Amino acid sequence: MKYLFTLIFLLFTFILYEGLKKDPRSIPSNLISKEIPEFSIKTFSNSDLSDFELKNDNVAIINFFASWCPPCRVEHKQLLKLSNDIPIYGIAKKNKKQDLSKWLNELGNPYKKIGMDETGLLSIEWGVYGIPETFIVGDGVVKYRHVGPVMRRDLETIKNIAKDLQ
Amino acid sequence: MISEIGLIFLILTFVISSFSFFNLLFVSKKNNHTFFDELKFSKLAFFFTIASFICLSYSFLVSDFSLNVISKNSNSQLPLIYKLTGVWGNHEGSILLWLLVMTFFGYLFSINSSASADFKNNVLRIQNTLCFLITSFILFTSNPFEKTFPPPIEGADLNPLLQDPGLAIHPPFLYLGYVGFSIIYSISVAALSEGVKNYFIAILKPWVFISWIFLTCGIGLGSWWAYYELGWGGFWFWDPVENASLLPWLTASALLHTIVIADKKNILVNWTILLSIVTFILSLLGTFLVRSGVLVSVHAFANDPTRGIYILALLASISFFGIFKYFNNTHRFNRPNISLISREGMISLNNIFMLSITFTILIGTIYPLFSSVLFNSKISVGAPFFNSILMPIMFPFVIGMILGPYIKWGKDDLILLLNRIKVLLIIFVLISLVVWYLSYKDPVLSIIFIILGCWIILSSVYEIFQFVQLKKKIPKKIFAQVLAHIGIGLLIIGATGSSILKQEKIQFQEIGESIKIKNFQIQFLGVTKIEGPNYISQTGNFLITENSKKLKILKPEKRFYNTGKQVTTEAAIHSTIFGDLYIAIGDAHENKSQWTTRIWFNPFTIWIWIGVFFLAVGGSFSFINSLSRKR
Repeated sequence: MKYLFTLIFLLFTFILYEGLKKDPRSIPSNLISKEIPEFSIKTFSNSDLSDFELKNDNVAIINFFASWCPPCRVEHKQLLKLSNDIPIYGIAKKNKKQDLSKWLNELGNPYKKIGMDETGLLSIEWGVYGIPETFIVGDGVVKYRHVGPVMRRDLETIKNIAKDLQ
Repeated sequence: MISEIGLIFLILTFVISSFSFFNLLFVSKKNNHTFFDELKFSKLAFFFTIASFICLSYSFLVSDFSLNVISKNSNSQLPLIYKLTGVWGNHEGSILLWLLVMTFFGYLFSINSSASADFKNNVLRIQNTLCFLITSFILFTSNPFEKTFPPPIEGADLNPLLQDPGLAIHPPFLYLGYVGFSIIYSISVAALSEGVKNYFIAILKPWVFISWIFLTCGIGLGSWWAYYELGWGGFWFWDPVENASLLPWLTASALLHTIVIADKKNILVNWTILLSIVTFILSLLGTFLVRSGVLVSVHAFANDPTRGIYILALLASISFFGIFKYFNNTHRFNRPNISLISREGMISLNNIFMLSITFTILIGTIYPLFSSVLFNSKISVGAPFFNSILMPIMFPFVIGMILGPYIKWGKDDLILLLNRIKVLLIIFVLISLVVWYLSYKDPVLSIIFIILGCWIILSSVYEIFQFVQLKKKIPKKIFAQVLAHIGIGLLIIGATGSSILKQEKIQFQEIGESIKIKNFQIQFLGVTKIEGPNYISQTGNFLITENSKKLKILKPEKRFYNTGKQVTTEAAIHSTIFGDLYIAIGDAHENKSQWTTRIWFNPFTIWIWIGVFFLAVGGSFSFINSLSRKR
């Protein structure tokens, strides 16, 4: 009993100690270096968007957002800048069309296409747990995941990754 | 100048408590009261710490920005009250508060407990050693009196989220609970050194109750604050920091049930001692999780690895010391013969459930850490895990809770028992039908939980009713138990309402537009700009009409704090006994003719807070009872 306890105790202490060295805020994705999941959804302009289209692009950015999400408003400016160099596909999560069109009119549209993820299922398939989240896809493979709004300081990283892929 | 004096007082605490530490390590068990008078040490440590704390508070009040903590966490524009509460609105100050509470409990024990002088000495030696460890932590890693040079002219600001009356009093209560368990630890470990006797249980009892009451209030206040301040429409988010406070609360709740049998029947004494030790260890684990930043939490505290390592070392050594004392010094009592259908059996069952819940929450809370260290994979454990595991446990738990108080000590018979409470069973059936009739459209789970909640309340009320019927005086301990159980019943109803039954509407609302939720029409009248003492607020005005009768205007706010450039939401809540109408306002769109608004209807939420109040009052009755029995 005593030895078992000592063992558990040491293991516990070790794990907590190791845990201290890790940064809990860095969140990798299970999708990294895997092909993007198959999907096909309706877009904002009533056309279709599927994984096939994303694979056609050499490099693409997938941005999960919604007009009702305040941090998405924060990152919008950076997305507009990015959209000059890299095509950005937006996935609007649980968003009403009319709300979205108002939002785009007000802030501008950085997106090549916007998929309407009305049920939120696509976000789940991509392992998105809070919007905004942004993925960089190169030749149909997920290369990078960014959780939270894309800020000015993140632009460098994203551009560099995209440049390497191109 | 004042801050230097504060530092000197803190060093004095360090010196005084170090005597106890060396005494514990190197001096033989046989006491030598002439030099090592622990009672005196405790008193001195308390007075030095409180002097030091007053110095720090004074420096906060006069905004002495030459101190590092103050320049980072306070501001001359702050209202006076928040300058004061800012003392514990940061890591350094809050650990000093922790120390203050710890020495305070040592002091209280030294003047109040009925224990023999020898035993007091042993307890306080351990308590003072704990104080020594915390003091060295403060001095070496988080000194609140650290200077910054050159002193800034103006401080940054106290985090606006903390500028709120709810949060101003939440940490002291939480600490009174958390740290109160330190004296329970000290008593238990000291009892182990002397060979456990029943006599210790009576000494332990009041401290368990008082700490539990404070922790209950602390958690309740925190949850209430999160509810109206964060603007997320919920009261509990299964955040690691919330869970960390729940763990010791659960084991302490188990403890206050076993301690009753340990006291009355002299069984499960070892178990009581072990639970006491574990409770304090969980408090420390909570502190470690919160303060080291190993887990992602809404409580975004600074991540400082040196502090983390220090707290981990504290946690490890204190747990090791306590548990090893336990293994080495417990002597076996005769194996108690507890039958399931007896009061003892029910209380043991309660303990098994309480610990299962504790274990579940512990695993859920630290599993992300384990998986990141062992498997290098990041996962997050959220509400679905906790809900799906805890919900099934609730059924037998509640049934035990209802039957327990009606079961006799020693041995009882299930048939006789059911016969005794047949009136109650009929009432149960009736109330279930009523609840079913009123809410048959709602999800089944919510109906079941609300029925369970009603059962607990009714069975508790029926207990009192039996005494009234027989014209007997209601004993304090029965009254305490009844109140606390009613509290749990109310909590279950409130939690069910505000989780399963809640309705949510998020939209862009145009000025003049009406939204319907439940029986309420919410008309958006517009936004006014209001200037507060250190913030600018955009206050939304919403006209609430219920069944075409004008009720009131609700004013949710979005506040922009001048100094930190931070934004906070202040939800506006219209509380009724049937539920809360809850409005939070977001950003403006389209030239401010439209605003994002989030509107919730959270049924029965108010009963959560009333439930917590019942728990605290019930605990207080037990506390008073345990004091009066002692004398």
